Amino acid sequence: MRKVLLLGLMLFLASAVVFAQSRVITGTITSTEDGLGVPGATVLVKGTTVGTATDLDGNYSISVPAGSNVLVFSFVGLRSQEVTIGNQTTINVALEPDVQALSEFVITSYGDQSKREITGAIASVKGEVFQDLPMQSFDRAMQGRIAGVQVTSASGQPGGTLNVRIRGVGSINAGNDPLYIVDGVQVNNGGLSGQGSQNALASINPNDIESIEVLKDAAAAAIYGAQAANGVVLITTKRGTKGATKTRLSVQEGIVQPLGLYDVMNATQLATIKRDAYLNAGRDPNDAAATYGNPEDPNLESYDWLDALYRNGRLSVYDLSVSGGDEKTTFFLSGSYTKQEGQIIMSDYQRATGRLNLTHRPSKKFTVSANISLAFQETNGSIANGNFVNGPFMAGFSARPNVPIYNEDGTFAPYPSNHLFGYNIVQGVNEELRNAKTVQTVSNLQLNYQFAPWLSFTSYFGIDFSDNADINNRPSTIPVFSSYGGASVFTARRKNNFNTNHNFNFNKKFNDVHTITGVLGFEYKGAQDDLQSATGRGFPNPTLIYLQNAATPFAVNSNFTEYKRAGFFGQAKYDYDDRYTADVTLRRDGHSRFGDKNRWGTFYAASLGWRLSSEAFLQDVNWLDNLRMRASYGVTGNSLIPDFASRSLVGDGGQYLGNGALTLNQLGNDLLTWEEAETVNVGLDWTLFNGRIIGTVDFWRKNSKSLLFNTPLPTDSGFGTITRNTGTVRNQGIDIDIQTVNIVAGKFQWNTGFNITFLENELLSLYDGLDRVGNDLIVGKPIQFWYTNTYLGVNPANGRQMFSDMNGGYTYITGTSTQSYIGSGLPSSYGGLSNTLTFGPVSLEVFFQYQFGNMAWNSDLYNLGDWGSGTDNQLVDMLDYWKQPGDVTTVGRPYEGGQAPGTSNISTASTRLLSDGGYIRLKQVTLNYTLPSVAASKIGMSSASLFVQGLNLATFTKYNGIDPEANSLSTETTYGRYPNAKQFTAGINLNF
Amino acid sequence: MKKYIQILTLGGALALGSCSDLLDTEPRQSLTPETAFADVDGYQSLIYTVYGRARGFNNYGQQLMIAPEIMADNLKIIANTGRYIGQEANADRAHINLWRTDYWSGINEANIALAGIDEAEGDDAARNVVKGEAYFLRAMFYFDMSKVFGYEPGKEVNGWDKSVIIRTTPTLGFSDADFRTRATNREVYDLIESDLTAAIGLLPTATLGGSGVYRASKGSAEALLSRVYLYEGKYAEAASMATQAMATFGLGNDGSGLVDAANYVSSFATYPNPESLFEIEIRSNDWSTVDGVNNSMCSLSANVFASAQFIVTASDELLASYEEGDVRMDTWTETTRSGAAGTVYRSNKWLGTKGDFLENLPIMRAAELYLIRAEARYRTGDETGARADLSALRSKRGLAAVGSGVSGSSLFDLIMNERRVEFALEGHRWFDLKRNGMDITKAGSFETVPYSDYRILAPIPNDQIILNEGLENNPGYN
Repeated sequence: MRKVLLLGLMLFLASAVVFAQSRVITGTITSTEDGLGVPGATVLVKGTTVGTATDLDGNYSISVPAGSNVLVFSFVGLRSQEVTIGNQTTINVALEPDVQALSEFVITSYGDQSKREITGAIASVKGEVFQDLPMQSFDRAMQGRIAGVQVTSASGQPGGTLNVRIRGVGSINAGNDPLYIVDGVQVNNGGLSGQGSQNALASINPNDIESIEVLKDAAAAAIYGAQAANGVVLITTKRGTKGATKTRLSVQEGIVQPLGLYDVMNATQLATIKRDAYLNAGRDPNDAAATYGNPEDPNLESYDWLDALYRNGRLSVYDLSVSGGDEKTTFFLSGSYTKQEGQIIMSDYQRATGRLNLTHRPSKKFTVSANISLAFQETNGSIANGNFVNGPFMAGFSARPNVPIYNEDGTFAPYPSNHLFGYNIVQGVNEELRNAKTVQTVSNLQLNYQFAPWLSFTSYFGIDFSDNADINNRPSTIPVFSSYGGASVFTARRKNNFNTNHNFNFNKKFNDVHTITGVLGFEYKGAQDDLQSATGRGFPNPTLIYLQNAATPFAVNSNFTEYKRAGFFGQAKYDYDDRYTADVTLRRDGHSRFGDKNRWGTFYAASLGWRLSSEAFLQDVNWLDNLRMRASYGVTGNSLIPDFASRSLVGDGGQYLGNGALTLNQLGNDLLTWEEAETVNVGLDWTLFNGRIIGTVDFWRKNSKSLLFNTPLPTDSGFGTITRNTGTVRNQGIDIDIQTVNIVAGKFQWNTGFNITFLENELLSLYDGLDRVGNDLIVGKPIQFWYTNTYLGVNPANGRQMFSDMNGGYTYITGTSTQSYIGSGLPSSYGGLSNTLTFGPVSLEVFFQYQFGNMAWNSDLYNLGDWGSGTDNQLVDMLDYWKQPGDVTTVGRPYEGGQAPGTSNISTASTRLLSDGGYIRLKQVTLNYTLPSVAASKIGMSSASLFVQGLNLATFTKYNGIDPEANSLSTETTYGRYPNAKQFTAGINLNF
Repeated sequence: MKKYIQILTLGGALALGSCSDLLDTEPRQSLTPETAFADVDGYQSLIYTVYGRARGFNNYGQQLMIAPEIMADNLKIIANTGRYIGQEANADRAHINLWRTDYWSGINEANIALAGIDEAEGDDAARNVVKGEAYFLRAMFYFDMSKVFGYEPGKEVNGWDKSVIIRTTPTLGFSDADFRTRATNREVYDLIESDLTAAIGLLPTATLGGSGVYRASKGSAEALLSRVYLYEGKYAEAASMATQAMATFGLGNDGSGLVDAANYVSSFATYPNPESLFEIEIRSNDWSTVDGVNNSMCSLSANVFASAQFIVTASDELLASYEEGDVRMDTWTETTRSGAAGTVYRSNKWLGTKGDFLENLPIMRAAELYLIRAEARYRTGDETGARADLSALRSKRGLAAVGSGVSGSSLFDLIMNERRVEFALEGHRWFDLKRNGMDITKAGSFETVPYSDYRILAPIPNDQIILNEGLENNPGYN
């Protein structure tokens, strides 16, 4: 390909011939990429105009004038090299790919731009980094890979949703999710189902992705101004290229295991602590024995509830793609199938995807392209993330070890009705159906007309459509559902999400040094959500679950919501000689969510870039390949609030006597308008020592203003909150990303990728001069923090729990005066570290991901760590409890019911449930063996490789629960989280 | 090229021209207040919501029925599920939490109706019903809260007379939701009295045991007002208002109109209860699929359904309060409970006979009018009248008339005992003891809670104390 392209160039350069020769040097120029000769490369005698070009095989011969001693070898796309001649007559040179020239194009729906030109803060991760990782969605692939991006998996449900936060948390009540754009389609994120966490982004097969770009600052994101305040994630899928058809097949199989489980008591241990709890509370110890068994009974049997719930799940991924094309048409066609069982029984996920990306040029001026994808996802979900008696992550640990799971005939034994609502969790998980099926397409059509080489027009249409059908069946065989003969709930959700834009793009270079590019356009987006559900009860047989068989139509529901957004945008960039760049963006957007009077907002950004390495004064610095400074400022918007948040709504109030009731559900605010994020970014990019060290550092500050804030109202007003634009939150930090080639020694190479983000979050102001809102928000503190009682330990004199009274003493009874600010719920740093060792065909990647500085709560301890005073099974650690005056213990005096006279409940919220949520996780280890190309071609392949890999292999943390990652979101419940899993897989990857 | 530009110009112009329409959306499940409340029917729909709030599990659906019984001496826990275990022990902050958005929303909804109903389209008869219901429900909600958060007028401890916040104008926007301080108990009782007096003048009459008792009526407003008078020690007014309510419902001084003893237990499985003056109806779709087993009165107090939680039973002291032959003892049936030693009793007042734990909630029953009047007459020196009222009720409960020798404090004790057995598990006991300034004494290892103890009044939630600097918590809560 390179040969064909550059024949013309070679002919052009070949005319630069020689004169005044004194000596002749010959040699071959090769490329380090493929080891082949480079035709048409330039060989120049430094300081002269004497030069030549290589022939088709990369050979050259040049006469060097007397007094000259340095040759310069160069070729487009490869890094120039200078060689001192000395006494040599033959000089062979291997040119390395030029890092600058390799800079990728960032493809947006508004037009393409070279990453080299971008003056905003952009980070990217290439598809090959996460190719063949058994992750169901691309957001997971970003975890730890991109500076400034925090990805948290709050649920280990296979195919579940994740939380992505770009440069901190700026909104208090409005959403903090970034805008996701897949090939120009502005897609929904979040969950698709009510029966298990099912990620809307998982409809995109990660192996179809060419690259993910994250636009972090206003300059990069302002073109998407309307919804760019939380950053923008651009996903570009693969496209075919002209040439031979390529086929890629990968297959992998593996297992899924729990990260870890709580160590809970056996029957004798629990009976022991319960007897003391009853005795201490003045209750009859025989009652304790009746419920928990007699601790002295040597025949007291223990039943292992966890063993019946957890398992090693199986994981399979099959992936096939075909791509290619000719002068007029290119295509990429792929299909995939994934199945993953969860670590808990009955929890699994499967997905099938298909994609066709097609580009056709009927004429030189007209291009039409379409990306069409279809995905089917099916989740069998688990009840998780809450204190649910029918959730295995809560009840599995809480269940009494003295209660049998099964009857002797193997059927499920009834569970005592005085605990967990009489729910046998193993029976419940086995017999309750929680199924979600979703069909989703994220597709687009793009028409491009090139009026002139410098002017084009694009019409773009994108759709993200999903159709979800949930079935929840609770059969009558489960005792708690028997009174009404079992129930089924069928739910259908339809999400339709459409965006279109029409824009002119221009790009013109004047006098060889001035380049002006720009975009001018209009965009419209509309989204509708539809939901219908129906519940039926009373099934004649527990295997019948469809509503036709229900004796009683029990409840029906349907609702609809929508929003519309429209905007005009323009962007202009100026580049002078690849040295100075300037960029201005202006956008005006209206959104139906806002008050009648305040729907439109204006967003803008400006940025400057200076490539110092292109300046003459740095030309002689050999080790400096690239050095560039960037600065930007801009304002972007956020509208992530409910669709009708600005209106006073009189809606559903239930029924009374068969009459539909109405109530004022929400107080309106017709002045409600855009939340704004004002961002300043200063960045430095560098490439040193022929690409051995590539780095980027960004210093940033983001002030989120006019927050869409749910201002609390006094309860006695009848309302909890009203949404107003008020308050300011500042996030500021430093993003650092460094890629290095540490050692190259023969076949051995060691590469390191390191990124870390340091950030801080501070509430700058609220409203009406307030400096705090209850214990939820305090000016000067981060917007997520822990405010609670300080636990001082167990009083050895009486076994009571001591709390700080905030005056240097202790108290047994807590109240408003004993609570204080403890620490931040947000991390102060996070990032990732990847080391890749390559030795010939074998490579090993070891990737760590980490997060520090946040305190994390663990509500599970309310159940499992209440000193034997409640109804649940306890952590084995609770056995070290106080028994008599003078005992110094970590666990106090058990007291049935939890509240001895003159004390607050043992389960009172305090720092006892809080711990350091920071962690370092060995996220991924991949060992890959690539078949030598000779061997590969013998079996008809262009390349083939075998790999084994493990995910979440080890975690280093002080956290007091199972998974610090799943519990690290301080805004969500920490009860019964579905933890992440360990995964081990092996696979092959074949390319034809 | 020219053609393209023409098309684009045209398209652009169209896009710009229709820009305002482009962003128009309308919620489909909700109305604007202007549309919803244009007529009387709209306000009637709003008041249905308030009725619905009364059946909430934090209100009469559970908390207001169980907590006042177990905080006093009528119930005990037989299965520790974590619920009411603190209330049984009268632990710090384990009380009745009514300071909630749903309760206050009910008051706001009544305020919205009262503020706007006079301007709404519709006929005056319907308008008066809505107004009367709004007054009645506002009074009932304020009364429930004033009992929990404050002392009754004249019964203050250390002069503490703070009650709840008063709002009589609607919250329709941000500026309406101002921060207020607590009113005195006198001010709150004055509001309740005036609301009920207004309701009596506006509401239609309902037939005892007829479907009219599912809504507020002239008689139920009179009955509630007589209860209010009794609580605040206006005994003469209480007696005469009880008489008025009895007349409205056609209840005779001899007890005629009350159910016969033979039908007493089954009256709790009859809808409406034949003795109901005011009853909240519940339908199965008011509950989620698990509310029956998780939250219903039936699940918590009886084991008629296999999956029931059955966590409370009659205390030994309550069981000892029934006289021989009292048909009300039959509201308890001997049974057993795994995890609880010996015999326990399940309630027959809450049997869930509408199916799957479901049943209505009798809020006021006719028997109360006799007991209010008996107590009021006793307090005003009319012991003969008091004995007559007690005897009338007892004649319908399988018991003999009260002998003329029963007088003075033993007559008062008998009235209190009669109330205790008549309203067991209906949420009266704590308030009956409190309004009379009596200590809470319990058997077992539980300590006595003297009337002067801070735990007699409920704490106001901490978040509200912190949010509203003018809001003072009850004494003793730090």
